[in-house]
Amino acid sequence: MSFRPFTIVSSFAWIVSLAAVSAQASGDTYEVDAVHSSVAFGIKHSDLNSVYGIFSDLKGRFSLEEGGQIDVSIGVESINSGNEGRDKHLKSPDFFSARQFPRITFKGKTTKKLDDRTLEVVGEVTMRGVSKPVTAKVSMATGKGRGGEERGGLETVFVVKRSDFKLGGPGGIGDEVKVIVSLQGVKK
Amino acid sequence: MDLQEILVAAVAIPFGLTLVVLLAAAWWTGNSARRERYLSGIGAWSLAAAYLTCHLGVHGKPAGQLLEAWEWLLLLMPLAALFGWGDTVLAWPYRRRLAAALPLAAFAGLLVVPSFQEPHWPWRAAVAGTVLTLIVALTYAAGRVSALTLLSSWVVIGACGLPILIASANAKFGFFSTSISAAAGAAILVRLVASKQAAAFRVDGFCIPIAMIFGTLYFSGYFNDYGDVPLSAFVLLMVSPLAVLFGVPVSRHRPNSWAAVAAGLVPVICMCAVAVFLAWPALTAESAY
Repeated sequence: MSFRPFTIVSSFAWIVSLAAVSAQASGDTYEVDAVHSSVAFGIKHSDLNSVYGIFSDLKGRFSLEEGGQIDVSIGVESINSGNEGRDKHLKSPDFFSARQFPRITFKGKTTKKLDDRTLEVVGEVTMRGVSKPVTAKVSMATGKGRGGEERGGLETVFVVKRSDFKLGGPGGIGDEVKVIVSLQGVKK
Repeated sequence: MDLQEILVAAVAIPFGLTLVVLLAAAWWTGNSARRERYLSGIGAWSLAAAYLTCHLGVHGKPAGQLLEAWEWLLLLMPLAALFGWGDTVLAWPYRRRLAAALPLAAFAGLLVVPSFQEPHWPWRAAVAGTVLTLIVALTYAAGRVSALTLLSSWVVIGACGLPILIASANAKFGFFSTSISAAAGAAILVRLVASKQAAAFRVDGFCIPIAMIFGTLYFSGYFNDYGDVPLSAFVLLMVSPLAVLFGVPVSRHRPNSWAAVAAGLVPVICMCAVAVFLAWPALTAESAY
């Protein structure tokens, strides 16, 4: 019995890629634990102080290894800025247009390990159908949860501009939005 | 954008643009019958331009592609203007106008109903039906009630749209509504200040773009309503242009009289007042900020 060289090479490539995917899926990836995660935003109001709000509907997974992926999505309808009227306005087409674009997504395309506890993540944020690149320095940590499961955490702060995403609205609020991301995940 | 910039984009620029376009058209007509014919429908283009400048000024350009259902008004308004201008210039008979209005109304229904609004086809039919009804009714009214009645009614409706849309948490749509008020107000001013020259433009030209904007914008407000404004408020606002038809019998006997204007305008004001009243609880909710 003889094997064609192409068959050998393609079989080998398939096995290697399968192994890589398995390693990615099983060893390096954390599934977001929404109960212990927060995404908050702060925006200047009337140039006096910042008003903050949070999103509570968080889903996704992240890797803390160099070259890993981060893929997180946030439910816009879960926004809570402490005022019901403001939350309704934020969900309307004046801002997030939540019914048309129900989720904000972040996909980290490349990561670089700066030191044992810091990653540099380059990715893309998509809000209201508009995608913009974002680079962030992420603090990371790993440990064990109360049930002994492997857990990982990451935290970062970055700034985006409302105008880049057509998150308009009346005056008196700043264009720059501070985004605070604090995620904890369970290792898959 | 601060409030001053929004008022400029939503009121001052639409008003000024309409004023300039109509006055320029009236002046340019001169004694030329041919120019008078082609400029008779200029109202359609001035209204569409007023809306488009407000839309682009307040919301900006679409980000690469038209993403949201209401953004299709950027296409629908020029189409309605083309139709309105053509209908006025060519003086189409009723059946031809209706045949041309059907695909325009259907197109509006297809585009303006967002993907998240279910059930799709009943809502598309509702939007198309509203636009078609308004086209038929307003073009009928244009030949039978005074231009002042029609234009004034549109000022009132556009202005009342602002509090209702703000109550639904859609301030942007409210500003789009006021741009229509501003444009209609400018047309009234032109007719008052330059009455002979203003004969050059016919109010018929406005009717089809008005039908398009009133038949789609307030639906968009309802589809994106976060203020729990009742559907009845939006429906009353959308059908209030039809109330000018109450002025038709009075206009027949006493044309161009204040009684005829009142007969057409007062029912519109009443319907709009009821619509605002229905939206009032949402506008004055405790959670307002």
